[in-house]
Amino acid sequence: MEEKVIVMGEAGRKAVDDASAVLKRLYYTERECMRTLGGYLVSVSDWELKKKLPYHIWQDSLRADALRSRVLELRYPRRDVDQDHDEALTQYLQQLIRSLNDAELIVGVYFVTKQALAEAYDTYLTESDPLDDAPTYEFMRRFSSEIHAQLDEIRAIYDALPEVISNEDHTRTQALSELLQEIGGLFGTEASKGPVSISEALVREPYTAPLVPARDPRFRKAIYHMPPVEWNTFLEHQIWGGINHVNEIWAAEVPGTVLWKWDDMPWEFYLETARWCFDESRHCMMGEQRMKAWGFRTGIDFPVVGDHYESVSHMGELALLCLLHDFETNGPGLKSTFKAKFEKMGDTASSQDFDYDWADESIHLQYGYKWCLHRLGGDNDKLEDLKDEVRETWNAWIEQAHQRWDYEPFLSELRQKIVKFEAMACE
Amino acid sequence: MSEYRITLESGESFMAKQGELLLDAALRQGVTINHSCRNGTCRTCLFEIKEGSVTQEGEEICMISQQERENGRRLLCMSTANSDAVLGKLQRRKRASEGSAVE
Ligand code: FES
Ligand SMILES: [Fe+2]
Ligand SMILES: [Fe+2]
Repeated sequence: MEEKVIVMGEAGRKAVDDASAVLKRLYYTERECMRTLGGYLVSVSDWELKKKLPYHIWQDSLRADALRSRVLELRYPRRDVDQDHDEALTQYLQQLIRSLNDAELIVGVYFVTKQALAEAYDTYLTESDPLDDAPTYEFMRRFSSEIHAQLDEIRAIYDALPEVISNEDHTRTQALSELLQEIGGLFGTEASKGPVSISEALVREPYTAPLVPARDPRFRKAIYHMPPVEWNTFLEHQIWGGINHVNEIWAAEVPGTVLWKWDDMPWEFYLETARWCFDESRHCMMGEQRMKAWGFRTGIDFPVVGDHYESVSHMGELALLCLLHDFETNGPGLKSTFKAKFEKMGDTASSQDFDYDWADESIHLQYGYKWCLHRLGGDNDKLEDLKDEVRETWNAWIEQAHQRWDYEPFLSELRQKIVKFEAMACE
Repeated sequence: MSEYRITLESGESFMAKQGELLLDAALRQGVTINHSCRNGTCRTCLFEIKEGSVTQEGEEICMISQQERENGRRLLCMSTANSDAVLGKLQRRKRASEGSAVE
Protein backbone atom coordinates (compact mmCIF):
# COMPACT_ATOMS: atom_id res chain seq x y z
CA MET A 1 0.00 0.00 0.00
CA GLU A 2 1.26 3.44 -0.89
CA GLU A 3 2.39 5.52 2.06
CA LYS A 4 0.18 8.49 2.75
CA VAL A 5 2.10 11.72 2.96
CA ILE A 6 1.03 14.54 5.17
CA VAL A 7 2.70 17.90 4.59
CA MET A 8 2.56 20.60 7.19
CA GLY A 9 3.57 24.18 6.45
CA GLU A 10 3.62 26.06 3.18
CA ALA A 11 4.41 24.45 -0.14
CA GLY A 12 7.90 24.94 -1.62
CA ARG A 13 8.18 28.04 -3.76
CA LYS A 14 11.31 28.03 -5.83
CA ALA A 15 14.01 25.39 -6.37
CA VAL A 16 17.67 26.36 -6.23
CA ASP A 17 18.15 25.70 -9.95
CA ASP A 18 15.19 27.92 -10.82
CA ALA A 19 16.44 30.67 -8.54
CA SER A 20 19.93 30.66 -10.02
CA ALA A 21 18.56 30.71 -13.57
CA VAL A 22 16.38 33.76 -12.84
CA LEU A 23 19.11 35.55 -10.89
CA LYS A 24 21.53 34.99 -13.72
CA ARG A 25 19.09 36.66 -16.15
CA LEU A 26 18.68 39.61 -13.80
CA TYR A 27 22.45 39.88 -13.38
CA TYR A 28 22.89 39.86 -17.14
CA THR A 29 20.21 42.51 -17.59
CA GLU A 30 21.75 44.80 -14.97
CA ARG A 31 25.16 44.30 -16.47
CA GLU A 32 24.03 45.08 -20.00
CA CYS A 33 22.09 48.17 -18.88
CA MET A 34 25.27 49.35 -17.20
CA ARG A 35 27.37 48.64 -20.30
CA THR A 36 24.82 50.35 -22.52
CA LEU A 37 24.87 53.50 -20.41
CA GLY A 38 28.66 53.39 -20.38
CA GLY A 39 28.90 53.06 -24.15
CA TYR A 40 26.39 55.80 -24.82
CA LEU A 41 27.90 58.23 -22.29
CA VAL A 42 30.20 59.77 -24.90
CA SER A 43 27.18 60.36 -27.15
CA VAL A 44 25.01 61.97 -24.47
CA SER A 45 24.30 65.64 -25.22
CA ASP A 46 22.43 66.79 -22.17
CA TRP A 47 24.83 67.97 -19.49
CA GLU A 48 22.63 66.93 -16.55
CA LEU A 49 22.23 63.45 -18.01
CA LYS A 50 25.94 63.20 -18.70
CA LYS A 51 26.72 63.83 -15.04
CA LYS A 52 23.98 61.58 -13.70
CA LEU A 53 24.56 58.39 -15.70
CA PRO A 54 27.93 57.48 -14.15
CA TYR A 55 26.31 57.29 -10.71
CA HIS A 56 23.67 54.93 -12.03
CA ILE A 57 26.31 52.91 -13.87
CA TRP A 58 28.09 52.36 -10.59
CA GLN A 59 24.87 51.49 -8.74
CA ASP A 60 23.96 49.06 -11.52
CA SER A 61 27.37 47.41 -11.26
CA LEU A 62 26.90 46.86 -7.52
CA ARG A 63 23.50 45.26 -8.03
CA ALA A 64 24.92 43.10 -10.81
CA ASP A 65 27.77 42.07 -8.55
CA ALA A 66 25.49 41.02 -5.70
CA LEU A 67 23.36 38.98 -8.11
CA ARG A 68 26.36 37.35 -9.76
CA SER A 69 27.87 36.35 -6.43
CA ARG A 70 24.57 34.89 -5.35
CA VAL A 71 24.21 32.87 -8.56
CA LEU A 72 27.56 31.28 -7.80
CA GLU A 73 26.40 30.39 -4.29
CA LEU A 74 23.48 28.49 -5.78
CA ARG A 75 25.49 25.58 -7.22
CA TYR A 76 25.91 27.40 -10.53
CA PRO A 77 29.06 26.55 -12.51
CA ARG A 78 31.49 29.48 -12.29
CA ARG A 79 32.47 29.16 -15.91
CA ASP A 80 28.90 29.56 -17.13
CA VAL A 81 27.76 32.58 -15.15
CA ASP A 82 29.18 35.01 -17.72
CA GLN A 83 28.21 33.05 -20.82
CA ASP A 84 25.41 31.07 -22.45
CA HIS A 85 22.85 33.82 -21.98
CA ASP A 86 19.41 33.46 -23.49
CA GLU A 87 19.68 34.50 -27.12
CA ALA A 88 16.34 36.28 -27.12
CA LEU A 89 17.22 38.29 -24.02
CA THR A 90 20.56 39.19 -25.61
CA GLN A 91 18.78 40.35 -28.73
CA TYR A 92 16.45 42.51 -26.69
CA LEU A 93 19.29 44.07 -24.68
CA GLN A 94 21.28 44.79 -27.84
CA GLN A 95 18.54 47.14 -29.03
CA LEU A 96 18.99 49.49 -26.07
CA ILE A 97 22.12 51.29 -27.23
CA ARG A 98 20.83 51.75 -30.75
CA SER A 99 19.35 55.08 -29.78
CA LEU A 100 19.16 58.17 -31.91
CA ASN A 101 19.29 60.60 -28.99
CA ASP A 102 19.30 60.93 -25.21
CA ALA A 103 15.53 60.48 -25.01
CA GLU A 104 15.62 57.16 -26.85
CA LEU A 105 18.35 55.88 -24.59
CA ILE A 106 16.32 56.79 -21.51
CA VAL A 107 13.18 55.19 -22.90
CA GLY A 108 14.90 51.88 -23.57
CA VAL A 109 17.15 51.56 -20.56
CA TYR A 110 15.02 53.27 -17.95
CA PHE A 111 11.36 53.42 -18.84
CA VAL A 112 11.21 49.89 -20.22
CA THR A 113 14.12 47.83 -18.87
CA LYS A 114 14.79 49.29 -15.43
CA GLN A 115 11.07 49.56 -14.83
CA ALA A 116 10.85 45.85 -15.65
CA LEU A 117 13.81 45.12 -13.37
CA ALA A 118 12.13 46.84 -10.42
CA GLU A 119 9.00 44.78 -11.03
CA ALA A 120 11.04 41.60 -11.40
CA TYR A 121 12.70 42.13 -8.01
CA ASP A 122 9.32 42.68 -6.34
CA THR A 123 8.02 39.52 -7.98
CA TYR A 124 11.07 37.48 -7.04
CA LEU A 125 10.71 38.49 -3.41
CA THR A 126 7.06 37.49 -3.27
CA GLU A 127 7.62 34.22 -5.08
CA SER A 128 10.62 32.88 -3.17
CA ASP A 129 11.15 31.70 0.37
CA PRO A 130 12.39 34.40 2.77
CA LEU A 131 14.17 31.89 4.99
CA ASP A 132 15.60 29.42 2.49
CA ASP A 133 16.69 32.21 0.14
CA ALA A 134 17.44 34.78 2.86
CA PRO A 135 20.86 35.78 1.46
CA THR A 136 19.13 36.93 -1.76
CA TYR A 137 16.45 38.76 0.23
CA GLU A 138 19.07 40.65 2.17
CA PHE A 139 20.31 42.62 -0.80
CA MET A 140 17.36 42.38 -3.17
CA ARG A 141 14.88 44.10 -0.87
CA ARG A 142 16.75 47.37 -1.49
CA PHE A 143 16.87 47.02 -5.28
CA SER A 144 13.38 48.06 -6.28
CA SER A 145 13.47 51.31 -4.30
CA GLU A 146 16.96 52.08 -5.62
CA ILE A 147 15.76 51.67 -9.19
CA HIS A 148 12.68 53.78 -8.53
CA ALA A 149 14.95 56.53 -7.22
CA GLN A 150 16.97 56.28 -10.44
CA LEU A 151 13.78 56.46 -12.48
CA ASP A 152 12.64 59.58 -10.62
CA GLU A 153 15.98 61.29 -11.19
CA ILE A 154 15.97 60.44 -14.86
CA ARG A 155 12.34 61.38 -15.38
CA ALA A 156 13.11 64.94 -14.29
CA ILE A 157 15.97 65.15 -16.80
CA TYR A 158 13.95 63.45 -19.56
CA ASP A 159 11.03 65.86 -19.26
CA ALA A 160 13.37 68.78 -19.90
CA LEU A 161 15.08 67.30 -22.99
CA PRO A 162 14.47 69.39 -26.12
CA GLU A 163 13.51 66.34 -28.19
CA VAL A 164 10.87 65.40 -25.61
CA ILE A 165 9.46 68.89 -25.29
CA SER A 166 9.17 69.30 -29.05
CA ASN A 167 7.97 65.85 -29.99
CA GLU A 168 7.65 63.08 -27.44
CA ASP A 169 7.26 59.81 -29.29
CA HIS A 170 5.95 56.66 -27.64
CA THR A 171 6.59 54.31 -30.57
CA ARG A 172 9.91 53.09 -29.22
CA THR A 173 8.59 52.58 -25.69
CA GLN A 174 5.78 50.49 -27.09
CA ALA A 175 7.94 48.48 -29.48
CA LEU A 176 10.50 47.65 -26.80
CA SER A 177 7.80 46.74 -24.27
CA GLU A 178 6.26 44.40 -26.81
CA LEU A 179 9.60 42.82 -27.60
CA LEU A 180 10.29 42.28 -23.93
CA GLN A 181 6.90 40.71 -23.50
CA GLU A 182 7.50 38.47 -26.50
CA ILE A 183 10.70 37.07 -25.02
CA GLY A 184 8.86 36.20 -21.80
CA GLY A 185 9.84 39.30 -19.83
CA LEU A 186 13.04 39.43 -17.84
CA PHE A 187 12.27 36.07 -16.23
CA GLY A 188 11.85 34.47 -19.67
CA THR A 189 9.95 31.32 -20.51
CA GLU A 190 11.04 28.08 -22.04
CA ALA A 191 9.22 29.07 -25.22
CA SER A 192 11.16 32.32 -25.50
CA LYS A 193 14.51 30.65 -26.22
CA GLY A 194 15.96 31.37 -29.63
CA PRO A 195 16.05 34.41 -31.89
CA VAL A 196 13.09 36.75 -32.21
CA SER A 197 12.19 39.10 -35.00
CA ILE A 198 12.80 42.80 -34.43
CA SER A 199 9.93 45.08 -35.37
CA GLU A 200 10.31 47.78 -37.97
CA ALA A 201 10.10 50.50 -35.31
CA LEU A 202 13.26 49.21 -33.66
CA VAL A 203 15.45 48.65 -36.68
CA ARG A 204 18.60 50.76 -36.31
CA GLU A 205 22.21 50.67 -37.40
CA PRO A 206 24.58 49.14 -34.83
CA TYR A 207 25.88 51.77 -32.42
CA THR A 208 29.23 53.40 -33.07
CA ALA A 209 30.75 55.68 -30.47
CA PRO A 210 31.73 59.13 -31.82
CA LEU A 211 35.43 60.04 -31.86
CA VAL A 212 34.59 63.50 -30.54
CA PRO A 213 32.55 63.40 -27.33
CA ALA A 214 29.17 65.11 -27.52
CA ARG A 215 28.72 68.21 -25.39
CA ASP A 216 25.56 70.05 -24.54
CA PRO A 217 24.46 72.09 -27.58
CA ARG A 218 23.77 74.99 -25.21
CA PHE A 219 27.50 75.24 -24.49
CA ARG A 220 29.61 77.77 -26.37
CA LYS A 221 32.04 76.39 -28.92
CA ALA A 222 35.60 75.73 -27.82
CA ILE A 223 38.53 73.56 -28.92
CA TYR A 224 40.37 72.89 -25.66
CA HIS A 225 39.52 73.52 -22.03
CA MET A 226 42.52 74.93 -20.17
CA PRO A 227 43.41 78.61 -20.60
CA PRO A 228 46.71 78.62 -22.53
CA VAL A 229 48.40 80.86 -19.96
CA GLU A 230 50.45 80.47 -16.78
CA TRP A 231 48.70 80.16 -13.43
CA ASN A 232 50.06 83.27 -11.75
CA THR A 233 47.87 84.29 -8.83
CA PHE A 234 46.18 81.99 -6.34
CA LEU A 235 42.82 83.19 -7.64
CA GLU A 236 43.77 82.02 -11.12
CA HIS A 237 44.84 78.73 -9.66
CA GLN A 238 41.43 78.37 -7.99
CA ILE A 239 39.55 79.13 -11.19
CA TRP A 240 41.76 77.33 -13.69
CA GLY A 241 41.72 74.36 -11.26
CA GLY A 242 37.93 74.46 -11.23
CA ILE A 243 37.75 74.48 -15.04
CA ASN A 244 40.13 71.56 -15.15
CA HIS A 245 38.08 69.59 -12.65
CA VAL A 246 34.80 70.14 -14.53
CA ASN A 247 36.43 68.92 -17.71
CA GLU A 248 37.34 65.62 -16.07
CA ILE A 249 34.07 64.37 -17.49
CA TRP A 250 36.24 63.02 -20.35
CA ALA A 251 37.81 60.73 -17.77
CA ALA A 252 34.33 59.32 -17.04
CA GLU A 253 33.65 58.89 -20.75
CA VAL A 254 36.76 56.76 -21.26
CA PRO A 255 35.82 54.04 -18.73
CA GLY A 256 32.29 54.22 -20.15
CA THR A 257 33.57 53.55 -23.65
CA VAL A 258 35.68 50.55 -22.64
CA LEU A 259 32.84 49.14 -20.56
CA TRP A 260 30.92 48.92 -23.77
CA LYS A 261 33.61 48.06 -26.30
CA TRP A 262 35.23 45.25 -24.37
CA ASP A 263 32.63 42.55 -23.90
CA ASP A 264 35.02 39.72 -23.08
CA MET A 265 36.65 40.90 -19.88
CA PRO A 266 36.62 39.30 -16.42
CA TRP A 267 33.73 40.53 -14.26
CA GLU A 268 36.06 42.52 -11.96
CA PHE A 269 36.91 44.73 -14.92
CA TYR A 270 33.29 45.87 -15.28
CA LEU A 271 32.90 46.37 -11.57
CA GLU A 272 36.04 48.45 -11.24
CA THR A 273 35.54 50.41 -14.43
CA ALA A 274 32.01 51.36 -13.40
CA ARG A 275 33.42 52.77 -10.16
CA TRP A 276 36.14 54.59 -12.09
CA CYS A 277 33.50 56.16 -14.34
CA PHE A 278 31.50 57.33 -11.33
CA ASP A 279 34.55 58.76 -9.53
CA GLU A 280 35.52 60.87 -12.51
CA SER A 281 31.99 62.28 -12.73
CA ARG A 282 32.36 63.19 -9.04
CA HIS A 283 35.59 65.01 -9.79
CA CYS A 284 33.78 66.90 -12.53
CA MET A 285 30.97 67.81 -10.16
CA MET A 286 33.46 68.89 -7.48
CA GLY A 287 34.79 71.45 -9.93
CA GLU A 288 31.33 72.49 -11.05
CA GLN A 289 30.21 73.06 -7.48
CA ARG A 290 33.15 75.39 -6.86
CA MET A 291 32.75 77.17 -10.20
CA LYS A 292 29.04 77.71 -9.48
CA ALA A 293 29.91 79.18 -6.11
CA TRP A 294 32.01 81.78 -7.96
CA GLY A 295 29.03 82.45 -10.22
CA PHE A 296 30.36 80.76 -13.38
CA ARG A 297 27.96 78.98 -15.71
CA THR A 298 29.18 75.62 -17.04
CA GLY A 299 29.99 75.62 -20.73
CA ILE A 300 29.01 79.29 -21.05
CA ASP A 301 31.52 81.16 -18.91
CA PHE A 302 34.23 78.55 -19.38
CA PRO A 303 34.68 75.78 -21.96
CA VAL A 304 33.65 72.19 -21.49
CA VAL A 305 35.09 70.01 -24.25
CA GLY A 306 36.45 66.50 -24.68
CA ASP A 307 39.88 67.56 -25.91
CA HIS A 308 41.87 64.79 -24.26
CA TYR A 309 39.45 62.18 -25.51
CA GLU A 310 39.41 63.59 -29.01
CA SER A 311 43.19 63.71 -29.29
CA VAL A 312 43.68 59.92 -29.23
CA SER A 313 40.25 58.40 -29.91
CA HIS A 314 41.28 57.62 -33.52
CA MET A 315 43.89 55.24 -32.03
CA GLY A 316 41.23 53.08 -30.40
CA GLU A 317 39.88 52.51 -26.94
CA LEU A 318 43.04 51.01 -25.45
CA ALA A 319 44.88 54.22 -26.37
CA LEU A 320 42.13 56.19 -24.64
CA LEU A 321 42.41 54.17 -21.47
CA CYS A 322 46.16 54.38 -21.62
CA LEU A 323 46.09 58.18 -21.94
CA LEU A 324 43.86 58.40 -18.91
CA HIS A 325 46.19 56.06 -17.03
CA ASP A 326 49.20 58.13 -18.04
CA PHE A 327 47.60 61.36 -16.77
CA GLU A 328 46.70 59.61 -13.55
CA THR A 329 50.29 58.51 -13.05
CA ASN A 330 51.02 62.18 -12.30
CA GLY A 331 47.81 62.50 -10.28
CA PRO A 332 49.12 61.77 -6.78
CA GLY A 333 51.97 64.30 -7.07
CA LEU A 334 49.67 66.94 -8.49
CA LYS A 335 46.65 66.37 -6.28
CA SER A 336 48.66 66.16 -3.08
CA THR A 337 50.44 69.42 -3.95
CA PHE A 338 47.10 71.11 -4.69
CA LYS A 339 45.65 69.81 -1.45
CA ALA A 340 48.53 71.27 0.55
CA LYS A 341 48.50 74.56 -1.34
CA PHE A 342 44.77 75.19 -1.02
CA GLU A 343 44.83 74.15 2.62
CA LYS A 344 47.61 76.60 3.33
CA MET A 345 45.69 79.40 1.63
CA GLY A 346 42.54 78.61 3.62
CA ASP A 347 40.44 77.33 0.69
CA THR A 348 39.25 74.19 2.44
CA ALA A 349 36.45 73.59 -0.08
CA SER A 350 39.05 73.00 -2.77
CA SER A 351 41.61 71.25 -0.59
CA GLN A 352 39.04 68.73 0.59
CA ASP A 353 38.03 68.05 -3.02
CA PHE A 354 41.67 67.42 -3.94
CA ASP A 355 42.18 65.26 -0.88
CA TYR A 356 39.39 62.86 -1.88
CA ASP A 357 40.33 63.08 -5.54
CA TRP A 358 43.87 62.03 -4.58
CA ALA A 359 42.44 59.04 -2.67
CA ASP A 360 40.34 58.05 -5.70
CA GLU A 361 43.43 58.32 -7.87
CA SER A 362 45.10 55.53 -5.89
CA ILE A 363 42.50 53.02 -6.94
CA HIS A 364 42.32 54.34 -10.49
CA LEU A 365 46.04 53.83 -10.88
CA GLN A 366 45.58 50.23 -9.93
CA TYR A 367 42.68 49.82 -12.37
CA GLY A 368 44.56 51.53 -15.17
CA TYR A 369 47.70 49.51 -14.75
CA LYS A 370 45.87 46.22 -14.33
CA TRP A 371 43.48 46.51 -17.26
CA CYS A 372 45.81 48.18 -19.76
CA LEU A 373 48.30 45.44 -19.00
CA HIS A 374 45.59 42.81 -19.36
CA ARG A 375 44.80 44.07 -22.86
CA LEU A 376 48.52 44.05 -23.69
CA GLY A 377 49.00 40.43 -22.65
CA GLY A 378 50.86 41.43 -19.47
CA ASP A 379 53.72 43.10 -21.36
CA ASN A 380 55.01 45.97 -19.21
CA ASP A 381 57.28 47.31 -21.94
CA LYS A 382 54.41 47.56 -24.38
CA LEU A 383 52.45 49.48 -21.78
CA GLU A 384 55.31 51.95 -21.27
CA ASP A 385 55.63 52.38 -25.03
CA LEU A 386 51.94 52.98 -25.49
CA LYS A 387 51.90 55.50 -22.65
CA ASP A 388 54.71 57.40 -24.37
CA GLU A 389 52.93 57.26 -27.68
CA VAL A 390 49.59 58.55 -26.44
CA ARG A 391 51.25 61.28 -24.37
CA GLU A 392 53.16 62.44 -27.44
CA THR A 393 49.97 62.33 -29.50
CA TRP A 394 48.18 64.48 -26.94
CA ASN A 395 51.07 66.95 -26.73
CA ALA A 396 51.15 67.35 -30.50
CA TRP A 397 47.37 67.72 -30.62
CA ILE A 398 47.18 70.44 -27.99
CA GLU A 399 50.11 72.30 -29.49
CA GLN A 400 48.28 72.39 -32.78
CA ALA A 401 45.05 73.40 -31.04
CA HIS A 402 46.80 76.36 -29.42
CA GLN A 403 47.74 77.55 -32.88
CA ARG A 404 44.18 77.26 -34.10
CA TRP A 405 42.49 79.05 -31.21
CA ASP A 406 43.42 81.69 -28.65
CA TYR A 407 40.73 80.77 -26.09
CA GLU A 408 38.74 83.90 -26.80
CA PRO A 409 36.32 85.26 -25.77
CA PHE A 410 36.55 83.04 -22.68
CA LEU A 411 39.97 84.31 -21.63
CA SER A 412 39.10 88.02 -21.63
CA GLU A 413 35.82 87.36 -19.86
CA LEU A 414 37.43 85.19 -17.21
CA ARG A 415 40.13 87.80 -16.64
CA GLN A 416 37.50 90.54 -16.25
CA LYS A 417 35.77 88.48 -13.60
CA ILE A 418 39.05 87.80 -11.84
CA VAL A 419 39.72 91.55 -11.69
CA LYS A 420 36.29 91.99 -10.11
CA PHE A 421 36.96 89.29 -7.53
CA GLU A 422 40.29 90.89 -6.69
CA ALA A 423 38.60 94.24 -6.22
CA MET A 424 36.04 92.58 -3.93
CA ALA A 425 38.84 91.10 -1.85
CA CYS A 426 40.37 94.57 -1.39
CA GLU A 427 37.11 96.23 -0.30
CA MET B 1 67.06 47.17 17.12
CA SER B 2 68.92 47.81 13.84
CA GLU B 3 68.41 51.02 11.95
CA TYR B 4 69.44 51.58 8.38
CA ARG B 5 70.26 54.71 6.44
CA ILE B 6 68.24 55.07 3.28
CA THR B 7 69.59 57.58 0.78
CA LEU B 8 67.69 59.00 -2.18
CA GLU B 9 69.38 60.09 -5.37
CA SER B 10 68.55 63.69 -4.49
CA GLY B 11 71.00 63.28 -1.59
CA GLU B 12 68.26 63.36 1.03
CA SER B 13 68.32 60.50 3.51
CA PHE B 14 66.33 59.06 6.37
CA MET B 15 66.64 56.26 8.89
CA ALA B 16 64.47 53.14 8.78
CA LYS B 17 64.09 50.75 11.70
CA GLN B 18 64.22 47.01 11.13
CA GLY B 19 60.78 45.99 9.85
CA GLU B 20 59.58 49.56 9.32
CA LEU B 21 57.95 50.34 5.98
CA LEU B 22 60.26 52.67 4.07
CA LEU B 23 57.55 55.13 3.05
CA ASP B 24 56.35 55.39 6.66
CA ALA B 25 59.91 56.00 7.81
CA ALA B 26 60.45 58.73 5.21
CA LEU B 27 57.19 60.51 5.99
CA ARG B 28 57.85 60.25 9.74
CA GLN B 29 61.10 62.16 9.19
CA GLY B 30 59.58 64.75 6.86
CA VAL B 31 61.15 63.37 3.68
CA THR B 32 58.79 63.72 0.74
CA ILE B 33 58.26 60.63 -1.38
CA ASN B 34 55.54 60.69 -3.99
CA HIS B 35 52.88 58.24 -2.87
CA SER B 36 49.18 57.57 -2.89
CA CYS B 37 47.56 54.28 -1.82
CA ARG B 38 50.06 53.16 0.84
CA ASN B 39 49.11 49.55 0.18
CA GLY B 40 51.23 48.56 -2.78
CA THR B 41 48.58 48.89 -5.48
CA CYS B 42 48.95 52.29 -7.18
CA ARG B 43 52.66 52.03 -8.07
CA THR B 44 53.31 55.69 -7.32
CA CYS B 45 56.17 54.85 -4.94
CA LEU B 46 57.99 52.49 -7.32
CA PHE B 47 61.77 52.92 -6.97
CA GLU B 48 64.92 51.19 -8.10
CA ILE B 49 67.26 49.85 -5.46
CA LYS B 50 70.75 50.98 -6.51
CA GLU B 51 72.57 49.62 -3.49
CA GLY B 52 71.67 47.52 -0.46
CA SER B 53 69.03 44.95 0.32
CA VAL B 54 65.34 45.82 0.45
CA THR B 55 62.50 43.29 0.83
CA GLN B 56 59.21 43.70 -0.99
CA GLU B 57 56.54 42.76 1.57
CA GLY B 58 53.10 41.41 0.61
CA GLU B 59 54.21 40.40 -2.87
CA GLU B 60 50.94 38.61 -3.53
CA ILE B 61 48.83 41.75 -3.07
CA CYS B 62 51.23 44.30 -4.54
CA MET B 63 51.03 45.47 -8.14
CA ILE B 64 54.62 44.60 -9.00
CA SER B 65 55.70 41.77 -11.25
CA GLN B 66 58.32 39.18 -10.49
CA GLN B 67 60.35 40.54 -13.39
CA GLU B 68 60.33 44.01 -11.89
CA ARG B 69 61.38 42.66 -8.50
CA GLU B 70 64.21 40.73 -10.14
CA ASN B 71 65.29 43.98 -11.78
CA GLY B 72 65.64 45.55 -8.36
CA ARG B 73 62.39 47.51 -8.26
CA ARG B 74 60.39 47.93 -5.06
CA LEU B 75 57.21 49.65 -3.92
CA LEU B 76 58.44 51.64 -0.94
CA CYS B 77 55.10 51.74 0.86
CA MET B 78 55.33 47.97 1.25
CA SER B 79 59.09 47.46 1.57
CA THR B 80 61.50 47.05 4.46
CA ALA B 81 65.28 47.39 4.55
CA ASN B 82 67.80 44.74 5.58
CA SER B 83 70.81 47.06 5.20
CA ASP B 84 71.68 50.66 4.34
CA ALA B 85 70.36 51.37 0.87
CA VAL B 86 70.45 53.82 -2.01
CA LEU B 87 67.22 54.34 -3.95
CA GLY B 88 66.93 55.77 -7.43
CA LYS B 89 64.13 57.02 -9.63
CA LEU B 90 63.00 54.70 -12.41
CA GLN B 91 64.85 55.00 -15.67
CA ARG B 92 62.61 55.22 -18.64
CA ARG B 93 63.13 52.33 -21.00
CA LYS B 94 63.90 53.28 -24.61
CA ARG B 95 61.16 52.35 -27.01
CA ALA B 96 61.84 49.63 -29.58
CA SER B 97 61.62 52.33 -32.28
CA GLU B 98 64.27 54.38 -30.46
CA GLY B 99 66.98 51.73 -30.79
CA SER B 100 68.72 50.01 -27.89
CA ALA B 101 66.68 48.28 -25.20
CA VAL B 102 67.63 50.16 -22.05
CA GLU B 103 68.45 53.81 -21.55
S1 FES C 1 51.88 54.37 -2.45
FE1 FES C 1 50.73 53.17 -3.82
S2 FES C 1 52.06 51.57 -4.34
FE2 FES C 1 53.10 52.64 -2.79
FE1 LIG D 1 39.73 62.52 -11.80
FE1 LIG E 1 41.13 59.35 -11.72
